[in-house]
Amino acid sequence: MDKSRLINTFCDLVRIPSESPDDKEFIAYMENLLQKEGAKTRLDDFGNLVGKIPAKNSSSNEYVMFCCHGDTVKPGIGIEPVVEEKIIRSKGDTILGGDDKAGIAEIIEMLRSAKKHPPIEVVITRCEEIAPAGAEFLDYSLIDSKMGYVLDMDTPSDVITGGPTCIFYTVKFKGVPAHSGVSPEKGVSAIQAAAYAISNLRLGRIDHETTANVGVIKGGHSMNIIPEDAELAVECRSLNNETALKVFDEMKEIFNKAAKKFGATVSIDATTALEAYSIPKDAKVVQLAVSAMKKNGVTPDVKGIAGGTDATHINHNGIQTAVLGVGGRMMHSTEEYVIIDELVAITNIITTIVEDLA
Amino acid sequence: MNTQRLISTFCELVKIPSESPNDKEFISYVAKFLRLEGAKSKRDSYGNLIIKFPAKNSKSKTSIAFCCHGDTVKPGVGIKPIVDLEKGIIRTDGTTILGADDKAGIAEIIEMIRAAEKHPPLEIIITRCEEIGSLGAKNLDFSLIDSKRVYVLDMDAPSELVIGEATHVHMDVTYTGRAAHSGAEPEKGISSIQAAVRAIYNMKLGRIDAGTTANVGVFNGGEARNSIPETTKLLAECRSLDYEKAIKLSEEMKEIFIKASNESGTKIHIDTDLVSKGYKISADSDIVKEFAIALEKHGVKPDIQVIVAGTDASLFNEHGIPAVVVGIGCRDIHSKGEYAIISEMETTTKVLVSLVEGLA
Repeated sequence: MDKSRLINTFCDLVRIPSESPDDKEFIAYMENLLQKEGAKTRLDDFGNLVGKIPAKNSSSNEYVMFCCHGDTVKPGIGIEPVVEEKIIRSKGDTILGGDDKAGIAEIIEMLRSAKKHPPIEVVITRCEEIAPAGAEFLDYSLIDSKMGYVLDMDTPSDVITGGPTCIFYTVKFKGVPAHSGVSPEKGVSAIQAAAYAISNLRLGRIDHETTANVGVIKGGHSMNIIPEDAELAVECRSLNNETALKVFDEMKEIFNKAAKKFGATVSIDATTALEAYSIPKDAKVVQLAVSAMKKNGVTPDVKGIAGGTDATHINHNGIQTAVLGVGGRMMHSTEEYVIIDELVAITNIITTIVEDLA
Repeated sequence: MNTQRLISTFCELVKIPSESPNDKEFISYVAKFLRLEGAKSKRDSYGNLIIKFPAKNSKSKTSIAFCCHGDTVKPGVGIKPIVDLEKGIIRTDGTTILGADDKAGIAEIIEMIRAAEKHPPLEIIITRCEEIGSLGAKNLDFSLIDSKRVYVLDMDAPSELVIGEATHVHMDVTYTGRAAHSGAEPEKGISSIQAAVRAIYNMKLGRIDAGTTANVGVFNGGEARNSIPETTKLLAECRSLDYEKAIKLSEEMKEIFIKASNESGTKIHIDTDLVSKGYKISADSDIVKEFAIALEKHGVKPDIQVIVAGTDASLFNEHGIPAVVVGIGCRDIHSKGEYAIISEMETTTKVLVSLVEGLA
């Protein structure tokens, strides 16, 4: 493990902009880099990168996958990493891009420093931040691994074994505009219909594993017009898939009833639907990570989370995949930074995993 | 009255952009234009224009005032007026508004001054920023005005003669809750959207009675789907032809907004603005009767009405100067389909000429 090489790799990666969906140039850079590490690479139709690295000092022919996303949130152009004693941060006017390029740098350093390993597949997905779309459209026929790791959490102790069903959807109420002072009786208020519906929804925590939220509403344009449009960004989540679907149906019915009551129309479009997954704690992919952490002096924190990652799609496509940390903090902000000791710790942990599999 | 001159004045005026609040250049243009007609012009500190014409062929010392607003709504930059003589209208190329609201009125006043053979002293008032809440009229230096009556030119058809307006109250409501990740720890958050819907749910909106209405026109809350929405902003209003009723209704709405906040655990801030205080002028008063006579003289049956929308006229009335609102010959205002009807512009001009000649 070469700490300064790891830091240099990381800084090189974040300097290449890859704001989703403009992440193809970065993927091309990664393709070149993986080839230099001895990988055979393929791009699928969506532009996701799959690199295959042959086994090293090992007769194993069972692939293990490591996956990161290549895109970043905004503002991610012109990132200038500043390496301090303990952390690496941006100059302050951009994000750092440690999410998820710290994970990529760790994987590259692992490939370079592992004394032995089984065949490895490195998958760099596109557009995780805006859906996660890359993993959804990934051509899984290109992947041989039966197990793997997504590197996309914060700390080295994270081992994520489950995620919820997430239904993200948009509700659009359409009423009839009219001058509110002259002829309000000619109008149908989309805001009133929406407000009536939201009043009847169960929101917040619904049970120990289920939540619902109306996160955004934009209704009307002018004080003196009966508002014609109201658009809502809504979600429901549950670690139990059936509960999530039931809550979604219940919400849809309330929206439809409210529209009917006020004479408005409503359209409901699910923008993302992720299905819950859960890996048993005694699965090999979990136990290997737990053991590698302990060998490197890290106390594992095995848990399910309330959000979707690339791992949701990957697990549903038959590749048992846990999510590990990358060593970043304050992601999605210009305050984002990575902790150098954690970059090192995670590189050591994944190196131990591949050496144990060799 | 010279129709060709009226049309070309109008086209010249609408070509100068004056989207509120960027209407100062236009107002300077009008000032220059009218100085050429022999007037003295003055600007108040807000930038409203007051132009005084001495009496012509008349000994009258009683001046009367005409008022138009100089600003337009958007999109009002790059207006290309198209004169369609076959249809008898002036319209746009469809990419902007026309700006006939309110520049048809200004063109008619200019033509009236040119065409009238005699008139009493006249004051022409061009206000700023009418479209964004009569800001010009609200800030007008009324001490500069000598007239005891004002005709505001700002309705559609020449027959319209507005003698009363509603009291109008705006409410700008902000609910502040607490943000939290909606999937991970929703119990730590307080949804400002939920607080706001609780209020709207309990509110009577739309037509309250024959002269009273209420509306929540804008509802914007939250920033992200996966966050409990911290901030929600509502724009609400109520209007009534009865001043007391409007004030009482606005207070009731305010109470409902506050109660919903208390019950939801959010904070609330409400800015209430009495946009315009209603007025009602007697149909028998000179200001109304004399205009009605001028209309009838040109074959137009006056359509005397009371309206709910606030115009600059309410501010004059509030300051003790009786004002009524009359039509200018435009249609479909505030849209790219806005157009002016040439025959109606002629009619209004002739009516104005008869009015001032009658008062000379």
